[in-house]
Amino acid sequence: MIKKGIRRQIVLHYFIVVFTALLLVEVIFLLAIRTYYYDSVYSHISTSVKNAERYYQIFRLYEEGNVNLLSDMLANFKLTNTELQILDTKGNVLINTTEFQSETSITTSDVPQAIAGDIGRWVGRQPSTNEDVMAVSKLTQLGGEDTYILRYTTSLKMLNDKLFNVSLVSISIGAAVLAVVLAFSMGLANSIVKPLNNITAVSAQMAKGKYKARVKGDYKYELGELASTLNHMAQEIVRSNQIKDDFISSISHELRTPLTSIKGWSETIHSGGFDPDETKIGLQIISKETERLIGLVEEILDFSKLQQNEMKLVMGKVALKELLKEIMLNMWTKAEKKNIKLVLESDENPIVIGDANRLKQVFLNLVDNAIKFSEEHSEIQIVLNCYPEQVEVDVQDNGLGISEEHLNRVRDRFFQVNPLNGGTGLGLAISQQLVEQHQGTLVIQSELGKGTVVTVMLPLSNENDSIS
Amino acid sequence: MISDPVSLMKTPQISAENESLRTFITSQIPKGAPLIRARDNDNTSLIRFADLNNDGKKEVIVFYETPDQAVQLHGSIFENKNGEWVQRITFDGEGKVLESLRFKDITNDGSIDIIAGFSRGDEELQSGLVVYTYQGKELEKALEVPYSHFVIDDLNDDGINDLTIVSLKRNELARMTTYQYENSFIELDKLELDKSVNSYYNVVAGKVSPDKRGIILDAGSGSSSGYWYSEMIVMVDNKLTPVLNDDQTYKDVQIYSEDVNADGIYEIGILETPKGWEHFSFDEIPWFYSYYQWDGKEGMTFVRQQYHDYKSRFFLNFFPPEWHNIVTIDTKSNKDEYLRFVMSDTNKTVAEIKFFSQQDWDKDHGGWDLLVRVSDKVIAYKSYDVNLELNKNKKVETDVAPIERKGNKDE
Repeated sequence: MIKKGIRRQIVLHYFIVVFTALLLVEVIFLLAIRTYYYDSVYSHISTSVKNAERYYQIFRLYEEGNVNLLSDMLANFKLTNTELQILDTKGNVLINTTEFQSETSITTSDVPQAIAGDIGRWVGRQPSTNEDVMAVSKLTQLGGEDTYILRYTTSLKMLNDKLFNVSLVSISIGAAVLAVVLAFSMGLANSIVKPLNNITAVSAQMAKGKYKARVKGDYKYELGELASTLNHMAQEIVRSNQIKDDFISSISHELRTPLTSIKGWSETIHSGGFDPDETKIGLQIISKETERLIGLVEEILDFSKLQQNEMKLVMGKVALKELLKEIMLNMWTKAEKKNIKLVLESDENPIVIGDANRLKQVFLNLVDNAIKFSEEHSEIQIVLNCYPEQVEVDVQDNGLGISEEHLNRVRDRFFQVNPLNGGTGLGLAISQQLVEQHQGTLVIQSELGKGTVVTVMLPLSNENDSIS
Repeated sequence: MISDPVSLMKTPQISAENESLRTFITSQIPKGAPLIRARDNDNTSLIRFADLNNDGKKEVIVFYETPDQAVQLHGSIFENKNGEWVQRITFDGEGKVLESLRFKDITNDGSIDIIAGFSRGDEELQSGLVVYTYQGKELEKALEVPYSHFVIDDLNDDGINDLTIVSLKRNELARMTTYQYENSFIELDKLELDKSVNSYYNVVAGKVSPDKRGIILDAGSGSSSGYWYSEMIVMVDNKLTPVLNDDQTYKDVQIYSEDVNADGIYEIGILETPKGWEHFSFDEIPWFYSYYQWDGKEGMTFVRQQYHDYKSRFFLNFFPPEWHNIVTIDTKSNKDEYLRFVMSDTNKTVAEIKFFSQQDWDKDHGGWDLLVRVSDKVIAYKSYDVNLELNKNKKVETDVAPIERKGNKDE
């Protein structure tokens, strides 16, 4: 027996469906063929008796004295392969085609049927011989003479044997069909169960942490999708683990640098013996580095808030052009260091609904990135375009650009094209989340070596009275 | 795999016992000799059982024909010895045709005797009756007499079967003799009958009145068209005594005497003219058949009446006795085309009979029920009275004529 599971389920279902169908068909077929056989015999006898009766009524010499009427009738009505009995209406056998007198009167149901005018039919077992017979009876009346019942009996033995053989053959055909179907269903079940088992085994390995394991084999349809999804999942797990590791190492590095400088300066100051100017410089550095640490920690906090959907936006009207100008001013010094020129192109001053600080954070991050990845003496363009329903801000640089391979992943948290560059790898991820919280979109287009365009689409405020 | 069901039909088996007996008999009689049955309808089986020697076990008697031998009829007796059949005796029959065969204890010794009637196959010649007795060794002929008809009954009511022989040779001899067996067959009485009779077309014996047994001879007489009458003979003090005279039982067609009302007493049929037809010619009158019982004295009492087609193509139910002399046939009727039965007192139509040609019947026969088909005609009926409702309450299969059944003639 097959052990419990999908295979057994499938085989069982096939078995039940096919078995039921076969059973129905066989039963109907056998009933039909039995009816056909019996009816054929019945109609053969009844046709013969009708013909004989018609002949006898018309051509019989009925004026003659009827001393031997019964033997005459017997000779006229007898039918090959049947026993003919001539009965009176009480069921007594007057004469028959065997050599023997029938001692008992006939009481089977064909006789009353015949008396009622039908051609009676009875199928049953002859008590004396235990043989299955069919009896067909008909009332006959010979032009005003006495009324007799002609009763034909024929053995159904050969017929029943034949029916039995037909049943056997059809049952064995049915069994063969069933066996073939079962074999097929077994194959089908295997084609489902084997890949499933394989996938299960692989996923069990994955659950144990072996993310290198892959589902091998070219499966079709849903199983194929399942396998590739699982493989993809493992790949993603590996990747996100990698990102996490990268983050930890970069954040540790990022945190260590200011802490080293804080530690150094605080120890220097603590040892004393410096003039106040030097001490002041030291304290300034400590303060600056602390700010940097705070900034880093805040960035991480922001990110975790965003992750847990705890970020509360303080919504208000924001004049986007003013905001961008502010950012230009903020970033000016940083750009100046690399001799990068910041250009704002805008004809309008659209108003959007949003949290000014957060939007500022988004654009600061974008411009900061642009500066970070631009070469010296290049130009960064910030373009503001208005459309009927939304506003578009492009931050465009002619810097390094991002390869296609990395383009999809730059917005992932902790991802950095080059983890040694410093930073948390959270900036773009945070920007993306913030824009999305403003019902906007953030799209990055880039070509390696030619530059990057980051496009932020924000919905326009309903009261679109732009300040020119 | 599927074959013609008709080709699978087979004659049913007979019981194993009978089958072995049949095989044995076939092996004992000459090859190809067919077993025969008597020409009359009284004993119709080919292999007959009777306890001939009163030993409690039945012997088997068969008759068979050997047409190419000098003796053409043979009989054979088989006995069952401890489950094995053995052939006891083979004997020659008389004549060429086995006319009748009865198994009755006529010698009153408790064992069954064989009463066989033979003929040479010629109506003009006398048939010969032989009574065989068998005691286990020899078959003895207890009686050999010529006969035209014979009946076995107990006419003198002494509890012992007697044998009555009717011999008829037209214009030469007509005699009825009753024998009874006491060590040998002795004549009880002898009665001379009318020699001018052509034939007795029906001879029955049994009760003729509630307390008297008798014999009825239905006789045909006269030349050319002829006439018919019935003779009733009873036994008074061991003397054969005719009762009723020929005029009382006279009829212009053959009517069989029988027990039409199933009371165990035979009736004699005569013709009666339906009311209103008195002045029509004989051939035009649609005769009624009326059946009468002997009243025990010199008269007859009416029992039943029916319409019987003059060519015996069909007949109707017996009318209820109280309709006698009231029911009649409309005088516009023609017995070969259309008949209308009316009650003469109320003028109510009770039934109609109509003859259709086959074509007309096939074209339209609305309202008419089939009575019977004859060679060129379809005879149909309509009934308006419950007594002539024939088989109306049953589903009438078109070929079954709903006709009154007669009782079994020989009972």
